[in-house]
Amino acid sequence: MTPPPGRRAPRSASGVTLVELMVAMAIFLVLGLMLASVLSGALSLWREGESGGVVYERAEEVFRSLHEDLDAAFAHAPAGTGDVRAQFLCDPDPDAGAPPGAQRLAFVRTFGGGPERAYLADAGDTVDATGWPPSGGLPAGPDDMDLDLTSGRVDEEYYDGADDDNDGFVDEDLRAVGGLAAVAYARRGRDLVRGLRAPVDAAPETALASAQRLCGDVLYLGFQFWTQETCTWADVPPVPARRSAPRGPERLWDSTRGRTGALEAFLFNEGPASLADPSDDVFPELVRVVLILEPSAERARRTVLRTDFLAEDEFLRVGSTRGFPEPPRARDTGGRTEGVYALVGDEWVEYSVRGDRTLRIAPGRRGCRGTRKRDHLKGTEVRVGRTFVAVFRVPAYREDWGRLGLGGGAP
Amino acid sequence: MRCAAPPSPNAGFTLVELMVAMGILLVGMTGVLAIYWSAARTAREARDRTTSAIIARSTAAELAAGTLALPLKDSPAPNYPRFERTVTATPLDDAGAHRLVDIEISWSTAGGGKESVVYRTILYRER
Repeated sequence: MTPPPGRRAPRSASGVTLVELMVAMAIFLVLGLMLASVLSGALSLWREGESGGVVYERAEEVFRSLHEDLDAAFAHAPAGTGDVRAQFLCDPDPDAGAPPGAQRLAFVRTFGGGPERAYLADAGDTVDATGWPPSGGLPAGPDDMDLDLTSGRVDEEYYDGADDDNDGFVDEDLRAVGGLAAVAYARRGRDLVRGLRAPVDAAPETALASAQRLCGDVLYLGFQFWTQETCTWADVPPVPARRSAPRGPERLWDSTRGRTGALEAFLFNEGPASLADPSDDVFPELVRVVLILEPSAERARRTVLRTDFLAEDEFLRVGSTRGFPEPPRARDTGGRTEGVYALVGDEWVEYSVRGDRTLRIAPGRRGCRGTRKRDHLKGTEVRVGRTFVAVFRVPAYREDWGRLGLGGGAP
Repeated sequence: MRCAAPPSPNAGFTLVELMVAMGILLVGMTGVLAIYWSAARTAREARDRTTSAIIARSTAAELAAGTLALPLKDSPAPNYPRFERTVTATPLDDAGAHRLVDIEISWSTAGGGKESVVYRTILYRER
């Protein structure tokens, strides 16, 4: 049935009918939804890539700095001086600003000129308390290139054996201060800081007093050392309960082997008598660094505990395990695979099974990475971050020659 | 006779007009999306290359220290899933103290392809 011609004109003039409008809106809606979903997907991908990329750049920056410092690590005490300033240390950080279980790494490295320059430049501190040189003239000895006799700036500890400046060293003329600096790495809250100090004094960790921020959003920074006894990077003790078990890396380092306190547990500790003896100093062969960063975009995705997580619990119930890495199916032959860890409050746990909202803790893997297992209340944050692992060689490596095997000891 | 109604000031858009407009919009958005997509892919590629450099450097350190057992062929890189490493060492002198070492790091890309970078270095080790 055709409508009477007289009614067509007003209908056209009124635009679209309700049906047409609804069809258009439906099509518009469908297309719009498609567009929005694709766009949001692409946006989140892009955002993730962007923040992830930033995290990779930061990790690479930290690794580059560590590589350069460890490559220039200095091990040789100047001959005949008894100087023990060329130290290499790693111990639990006693600073109040360091997270629980955090390590700090401190050592001496060369700058500018090589070690040869380090021996000679700026040697001497011009302190003279004993009226040297004697009126009879100079005794025979090494080149006195740093003695400035005309100005009266005489520095002769090496010759007269007196500790003029009471710094605990009798070495001034051969003191290795020029071209050397102490460098230290530690964590302060969520930051990784690096400190530099020159001239070097008897404790390289004092470099942290003027530390600068190297990287933020750090969840974890761990150092492990490969010694002459080590045969695996796996997280097993350096001195296993069974003698035949593989020996893990050392987490402490004390090149002097005579420091007290936490460093008495160091594998090669020889007691305080060793502190002043540079001839038995040890330096690690390899340093493995585990750095865990939390990309800023993932901060919004942190999950929380659904139920209380007590010190004996084996299951972690969280809001969601989205973004948590899948545990490795099988450890490779060397057992070198770093497990998957989550940070619950301030405690690291390793998990072996990942469900949608539950993590099963691997047996005995509560309180990992130097943290302590304890109760966590519902609502505590659970984080994973991105893990970066790198191994660096220390050219200054020096092993313990007197040691033939574990328990062998020096003759 | 049926003919198109004369344009009127309050006629609004026809469905065809609306769809053409949306089509243009769609094409434009697709272009923008393509840019996002390629940016994301470039970022991921850069990330993979950074990772491969970290793995290669660690591998070189362990080779220099002699703690890594050779030969290494398509061995999974520890702690970096998706990445594999192959090491070929060629002696440069009779004693084998100087060795030309190629460290090949390969990884699977999101598109299902394989990408690899070879880092070459010389190792000196007294025996």
